[in-house]
Amino acid sequence: MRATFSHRLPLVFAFAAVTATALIAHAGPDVSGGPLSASPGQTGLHARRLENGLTVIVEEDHRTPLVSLVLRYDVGERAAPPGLHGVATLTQALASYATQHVPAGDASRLLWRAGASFSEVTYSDYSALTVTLPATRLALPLWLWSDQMGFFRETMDDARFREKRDDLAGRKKAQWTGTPLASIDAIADDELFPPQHPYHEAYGTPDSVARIGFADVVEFHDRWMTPDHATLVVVGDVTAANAFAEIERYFGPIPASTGRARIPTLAVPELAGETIVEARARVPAARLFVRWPTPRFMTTEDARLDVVASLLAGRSRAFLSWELVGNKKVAAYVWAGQRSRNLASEFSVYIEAAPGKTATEVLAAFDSAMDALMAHPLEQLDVDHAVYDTIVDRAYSWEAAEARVGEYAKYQASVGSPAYLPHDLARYDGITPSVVSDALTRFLPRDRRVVVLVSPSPKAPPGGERLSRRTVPARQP
Amino acid sequence: MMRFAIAASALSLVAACASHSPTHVAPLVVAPGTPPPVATTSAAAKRMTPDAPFRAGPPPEASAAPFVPPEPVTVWLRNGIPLTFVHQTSGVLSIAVAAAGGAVDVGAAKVETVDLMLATMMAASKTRASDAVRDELARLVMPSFASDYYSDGVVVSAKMVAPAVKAGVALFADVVLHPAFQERDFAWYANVLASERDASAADPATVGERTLRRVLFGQHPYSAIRGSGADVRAVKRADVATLHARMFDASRLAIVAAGDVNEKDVFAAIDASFGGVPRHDQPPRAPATPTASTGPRIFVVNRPSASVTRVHAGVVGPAADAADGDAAQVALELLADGTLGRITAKLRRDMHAAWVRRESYTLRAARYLGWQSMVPNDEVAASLVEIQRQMKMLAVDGPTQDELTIVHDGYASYLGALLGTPAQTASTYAYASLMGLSVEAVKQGTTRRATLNAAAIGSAAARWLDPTRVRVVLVGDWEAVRESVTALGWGVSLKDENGGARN
Repeated sequence: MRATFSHRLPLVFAFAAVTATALIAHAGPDVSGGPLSASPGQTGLHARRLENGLTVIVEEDHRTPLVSLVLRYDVGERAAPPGLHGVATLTQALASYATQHVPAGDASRLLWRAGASFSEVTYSDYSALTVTLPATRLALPLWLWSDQMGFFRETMDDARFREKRDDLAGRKKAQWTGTPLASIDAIADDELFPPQHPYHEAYGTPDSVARIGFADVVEFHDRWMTPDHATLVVVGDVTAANAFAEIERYFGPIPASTGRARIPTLAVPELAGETIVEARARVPAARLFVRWPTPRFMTTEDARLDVVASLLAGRSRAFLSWELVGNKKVAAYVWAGQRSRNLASEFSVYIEAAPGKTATEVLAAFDSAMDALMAHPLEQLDVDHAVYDTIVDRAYSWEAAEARVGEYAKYQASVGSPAYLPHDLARYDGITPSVVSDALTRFLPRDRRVVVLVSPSPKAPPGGERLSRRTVPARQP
Repeated sequence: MMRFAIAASALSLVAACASHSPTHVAPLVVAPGTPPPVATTSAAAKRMTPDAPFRAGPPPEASAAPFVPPEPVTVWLRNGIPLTFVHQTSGVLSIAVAAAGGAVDVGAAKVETVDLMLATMMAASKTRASDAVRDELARLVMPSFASDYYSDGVVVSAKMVAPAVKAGVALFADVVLHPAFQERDFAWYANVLASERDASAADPATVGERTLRRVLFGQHPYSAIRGSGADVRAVKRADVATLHARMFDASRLAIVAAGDVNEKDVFAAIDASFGGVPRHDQPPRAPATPTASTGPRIFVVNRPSASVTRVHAGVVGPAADAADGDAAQVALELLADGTLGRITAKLRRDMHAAWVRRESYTLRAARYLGWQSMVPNDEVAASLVEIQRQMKMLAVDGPTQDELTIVHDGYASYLGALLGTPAQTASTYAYASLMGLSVEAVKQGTTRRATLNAAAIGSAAARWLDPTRVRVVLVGDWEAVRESVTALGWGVSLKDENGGARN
């Protein structure tokens, strides 16, 4: 009889949750009283909201003379006006390039010169600027980022706008034509989210970028890239009081947006049936995409689907991989994941066929494997392993300051508290085989999903193309 | 009893991962609820003029406080394995075991033996089945063991909370030193790895990287880090077991441990588990210095009707311990840094390159210095000319004063990123041991860079980044670029998808 370690999982939760409870204790209203503890190197988490709505989180960590910062705008391409996806990315690129007090190209040069590592990303839900640099240079990113937020439009002219827009359009074109499955991935996404949904075409195309006008960028910046839509997190070798003072100095005078814009919370889209798309692409063997719209980020169901993904194609339990790659040998590679997003998530399965196998054959094998999984319920040990794999690396990742800034910002933006880790991890507690079965049944139904069957074809256009599409109505409304 | 120990372990980890000692924390209640609100600043907060004078220019440049790495202590286990311990403030203890050899043992043609050995050895030990290993990991609140594979060796690593050191090290040693290599596990991992190789065989990035390594390193063991699916299937279980026995010999191992734990406890735990490893004095052959390739400078993998071309370019650089290694590395960064490099700026601005990415790694006998890009077909030849021009300019004129300032100031704190946490420290020093570098050599990295002058960088650029030494792999539509690329007169050779010669 196999042992179970489910009785030990509470220890894992305790381990991670105690961590976060410590943080909650510091998320209080006042930093003037100083740190509540004195463990070596670190002295606590502090949070404030400036008058203009900017949320600021500071954690002292004196182990290295470095500081990590993230400025996260709680908006991304989902806020783009219809047909103008790419405007969030373009606005951020323009702001990073030059502002009223920062000459063109100087932002990167100054950061590099200061010994910083830095990045900027824009997704459908948010955009984030991240930097790690010597703590004595804390003011540099604050100066740069506050200028981007408050002094954006003053120096932007049409020539610079066109240069950056064309550059982004060119990069989009290279992505779309240089990646064999770029269009296919987009097709699968757009089948999940109807045309009016903010996630529809949120990835942006060369054409959508080319449509963006100067006024669109200015409007997007003034509406969204404002203090009241942003969270600034600082973790490192700083004192909280000094960090707050510096942040107040640079960001405090920047006015909030006029009427805080919000993206309405939407119900997760419901598919009317099974949509099957046949496509072709320049790939050496067939590919299969299967996707479902699923509950949004940070819900209990979202966590359960993380565990389902781990069970299907994870590190220690990988039932789909075992069955399709190992036993039936119809696939070369299997990936499954819950792509968590703020408005609606998606559960995705991606399979690369073994040489000579068709996408239809792979789909049949996939369905058969899922049937077998439902017919022979899992053991608690399997679920425990999947849960453990899902959370233990996350817990250890908190050791690094550059990881923590992102986590604090994510929690603050998503649920209104930087110290949400215990609540987040609590979502993974108590997951049993029956819970997993229920999640499979409710969220991954065969008659309400998007299937893309990709045939290999050297004559397909770069990025691939759709050949046909049909929808089989669900058995029950 | 163990449960209390692990609970304590968890608490100590908090000190590393969170903000303060958990001993001050109220009893744990984990229940989702309304998160605590953030405080707001006083309504009376002083308002400033938005366009205040302090915004006119960048904040004053305060000198960065240098990161002083914690002092390592090196001792030798009873079988002679060097153990470097670094005390760092953290509740996490990270251990990395470096095993030298691998590619130099099996040769480039059988390089997949190394990867397959790593995958299979972590599955189960001779006394613990895979589920038992996972069970024990969970009991000790440890993440799965990690492994990294380099051309000069492998590094396997573990993380654990301080109170679990003794049991954690014992488990880690059991898996690393006594893998079962069961037939079933071997077959599974061989199939998975072969399938992955098959699936990525035609990926342009894989094709470009694989071809460039073969072009640059020829028959040298460094010429391949990955093979094909067929290469994986050709590996026998006995090959893997034999390689493991050879590499995990005391004469080839070095161990690094870092964390906030008692030094004596760590030594005792590691010596108990690793001190008995047999020593057969069979160090790996020292890899020969790769010879620079001659002949054509451009190699093409044809992808008919591809509208953009993937460009991989690189040179064989100086050895890990070469005196001008840092200067050569800096020269590459000034040319091909993904944001500010000279080549990057020109290709992004004038040639519509989607991106330029620097690619470099240090090998014991030679650095690899290179970059990748994605360029529209009609700009490929022009971009190659521009790259050559930029390389020559750096070699002749050296870096500008501004670039030199970046080199000096920008690296002032880079050791903080290499040695900031126990995991980073263990990984950095373990890798250094494979390169034959001492911990002192790593620690002096900032000082070495701070003393680089323009002449040294220019000289290294002239020696190592001479355009005639660069080999370029183009993955794209040969017909679309043939005329302009051939006109360069650099010599062109067609390659197949595996980097082999194509008729």
